[in-house]
Amino acid sequence: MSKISVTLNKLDACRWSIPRTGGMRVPGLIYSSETLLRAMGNDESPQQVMNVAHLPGIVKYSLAMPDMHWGYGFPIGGVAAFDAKSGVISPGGVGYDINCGCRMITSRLNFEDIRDRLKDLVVALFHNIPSGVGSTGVLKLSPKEERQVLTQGSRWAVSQGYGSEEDIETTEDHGAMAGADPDKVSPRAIERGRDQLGTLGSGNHFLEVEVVEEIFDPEVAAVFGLSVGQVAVLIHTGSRGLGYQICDDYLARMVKKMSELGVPIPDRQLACSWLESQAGRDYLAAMSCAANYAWANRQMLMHWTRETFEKTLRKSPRELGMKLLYDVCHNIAKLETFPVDGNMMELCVHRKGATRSFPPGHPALPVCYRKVGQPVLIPGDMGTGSYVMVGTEKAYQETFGSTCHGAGRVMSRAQATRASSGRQIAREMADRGVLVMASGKGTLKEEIPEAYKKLDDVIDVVHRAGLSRKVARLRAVCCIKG
Amino acid sequence: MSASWRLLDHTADLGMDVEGSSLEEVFACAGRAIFELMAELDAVEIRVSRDLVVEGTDLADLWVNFLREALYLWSGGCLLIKEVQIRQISDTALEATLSGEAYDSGRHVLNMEIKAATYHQAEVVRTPKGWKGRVIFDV
Repeated sequence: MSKISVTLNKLDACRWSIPRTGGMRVPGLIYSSETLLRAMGNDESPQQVMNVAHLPGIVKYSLAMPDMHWGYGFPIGGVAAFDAKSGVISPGGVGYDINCGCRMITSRLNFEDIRDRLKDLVVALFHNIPSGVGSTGVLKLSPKEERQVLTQGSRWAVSQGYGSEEDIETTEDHGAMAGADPDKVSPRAIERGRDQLGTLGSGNHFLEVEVVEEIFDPEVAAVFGLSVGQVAVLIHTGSRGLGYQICDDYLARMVKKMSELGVPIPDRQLACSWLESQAGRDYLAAMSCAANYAWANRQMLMHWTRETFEKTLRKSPRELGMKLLYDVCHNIAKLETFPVDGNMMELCVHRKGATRSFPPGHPALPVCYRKVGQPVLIPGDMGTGSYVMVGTEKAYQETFGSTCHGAGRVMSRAQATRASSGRQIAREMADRGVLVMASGKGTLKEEIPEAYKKLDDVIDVVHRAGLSRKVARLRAVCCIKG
Repeated sequence: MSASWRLLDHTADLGMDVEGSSLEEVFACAGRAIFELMAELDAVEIRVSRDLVVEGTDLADLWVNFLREALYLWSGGCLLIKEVQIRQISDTALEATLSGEAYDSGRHVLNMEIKAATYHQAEVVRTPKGWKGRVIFDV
């Protein structure tokens, strides 16, 4: 592969620009810190930021968040917005796991209430939440049911008894993107989706019981219903095989037609189509189906989590008070409106490993959060815990309402496996106060904490840059992995 | 010379280089390697075969499409593949037979999941000794 030299010009403590060169239509803009950039070593993600800047219709700049790392085609942590009329949409700019995302459930429990029951809880959760490679769920959807899932998302799950109407209110897009058309989803994707609904999957996906450790913004924390010592649950998963298949199908279709685009694209994985073309519209309709599937999936997993808490702790739903704080997606493309050079412009915003971060007053926010801004949920790596942040006006103005999505890997899976050779990872985690159960035998070794950037460093950058503000930090107490 | 594969270190995902003296060897080795990565193949027996006919716009596209179809035997058909035979190959089309058996959770051990074969840096090139293929998997 050819290596292009990348020029990074430091703009301020949190931002570096990459000047326009060659076929770039806009400059690159990277949010990071000296420490994080140094830690990236020879990671090629800055070059990927440049590659994305070649795509037709891209507006303002090709962005990357501080958790950015190498990811075929678009970098992980990349954000790019395209003119909805004259721009493109790219399946690779969303990624394979369409609407991978997370939701946080708060509770009335304090750590003291579960301290002696942690082992029972983690075992029960592991038993009740299907996880692991190729895991299948308890449901096998009929074709008719699957179509309903693909068009209705969370609402379908709630209509089947998984959760309540309130949950829909605090889910991004109310748990369903409009325009989802199951006829644009291939038979293969439909087949893969039939028996994976209600499963966690494998890899970096997890379900974690956490405890609020620190509050940074008491006013916003009060609105989000967060207080120190409180127990919460974080669920991180996506659209499973259905989403992977949709991404793969449309990449193949768009690669075949790359010549029709009439512009050279530096990497086939960046294959794209005009948003207003048949292929572009079809992909958006299919991608929306996968997004809805993912929301239904997380809704079901949350329901089983609530049931598991009720049974294990022998408490009523009322006593537990397990409420959905919010659900965000961090692999998605959406039609959204932002100010560009003083005018409102309809854009197709691609967030591949980036979280929406909408400001106070934005009409897309649920009424309960409209005064303070959108809850932004940032998961850490296995057992680290997570941050709750809040969306800002700065993100709305500067990054198409986007912020980081997690810690971001620094070690390859092979490196991590070598680094953890001979170690008892589950034991090490237990010594740190985190009970972990995983179904895959290599998962714990691949997902060791050292394999990731320090979450605190990433959060620090987006907080200082004003892309989202710290509200609370949570530590993990138990974790189930695929 | 028989073909061999090795993993490349990549931060997010899994890269693989495959070398062999012929195109047939490189493709067959890569097809099998996917399953060596995903599962313990010792316990897999040959009970069923699937014939694949794959096309591509060029050799790199054919390579990705072939790996994509091989992966689908697992993701869409729950098959674990142990033997791959490339019966015919050109720059834009191939015919292959892949053999193995259906996954049985009682007997088979899965190691990991490969979600997809990506186009990123995907290539098949001539080397002094034959051919080399490179692919990055999304895992």
